[in-house]
Amino acid sequence: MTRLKITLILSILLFTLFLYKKAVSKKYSIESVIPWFGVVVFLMIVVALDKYLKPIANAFGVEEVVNFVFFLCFGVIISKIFVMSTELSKQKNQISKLTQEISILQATLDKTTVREGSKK
Amino acid sequence: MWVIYMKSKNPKNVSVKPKVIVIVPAYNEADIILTTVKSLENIKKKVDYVVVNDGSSDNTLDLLRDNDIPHVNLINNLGIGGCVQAGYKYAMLRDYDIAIQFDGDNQHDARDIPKIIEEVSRCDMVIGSRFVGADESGNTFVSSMPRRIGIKLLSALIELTTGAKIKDVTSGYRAVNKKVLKRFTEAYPSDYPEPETIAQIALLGYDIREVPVRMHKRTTGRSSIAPLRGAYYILKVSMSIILLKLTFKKERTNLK
Repeated sequence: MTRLKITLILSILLFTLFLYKKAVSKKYSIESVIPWFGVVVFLMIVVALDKYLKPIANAFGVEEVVNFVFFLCFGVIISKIFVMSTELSKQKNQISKLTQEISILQATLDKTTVREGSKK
Repeated sequence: MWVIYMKSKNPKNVSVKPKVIVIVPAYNEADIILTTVKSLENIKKKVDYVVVNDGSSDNTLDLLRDNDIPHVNLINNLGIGGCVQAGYKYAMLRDYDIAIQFDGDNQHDARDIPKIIEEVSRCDMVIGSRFVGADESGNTFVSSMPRRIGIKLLSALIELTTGAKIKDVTSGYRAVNKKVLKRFTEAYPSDYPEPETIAQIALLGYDIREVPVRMHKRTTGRSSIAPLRGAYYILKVSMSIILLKLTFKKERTNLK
């Protein structure tokens, strides 16, 4: 666990720094950063309480703690991707609706649907 | 925004003679769009039409502007579903009674429009079919064997799930009355919409009929369904139809 612990600590530090920079530069909204800070906190707990993870890992049918950590990270990533694809699908529909409405209104304003000289 | 704009229209403006519009979805059809438009202008029964340019990357939009062709220019490429739905929304906004979908690639024959209008006045939706009355229609376009098998499979699935017997379920040559038009402005599939919309409308209990039409082989561009995507097309549409069937009761309740 020692090597994994060092890797995790380094990863957490780098990732926290990266998140902080993103939040400060306002490239990410706070709403987008918060779940990732949650991941950081989760990883910190894993590193701090690694001694207690063995029985929990065994309870889930995982022999090694390291595999259990990977399993948990995998679960977090899958659920995050699922949430993102749901959001993407929703936004795709919203963009489609907006595009249609703006384009129709634009056509009405520019009179591109009316022939010159006609009373349509 | 849409609702406010719709509500501002005069609801009492009811015409005796149905107002008909032909919706022409066009994506990168610069080589053929003028021919398509000319064919619409040459038919005896004069109808309004609007070309919906689906964010084409060629000069389709320039041609529409330069030739003073009535058009709506979508600022993003939405794909066939979003493009056609924009046309339906436009038709609804302008209070049309009948909307006809007519491909921009000149595969459809405008001479069949009067026949389609006549039929849609007796039902809710009319599909211009390559497979009914093929002998008398003068149809010159025959699909490839894999495509015909795919169409038969989807046709069988629609019959199984909805009871509607429609042979040419992938035909994009179709007309709808105001009830279906309104429905399409509210919900329309984004990809490969033709079979799914038939299933949707059939499940809602609307009357769908087929009339024989002439279709011609595409001379320019390429089909929106590339050969390799055929299998995906069948899978996606089949899943959508099955899901529609499974969720239909809930949807019907929501509609009431």
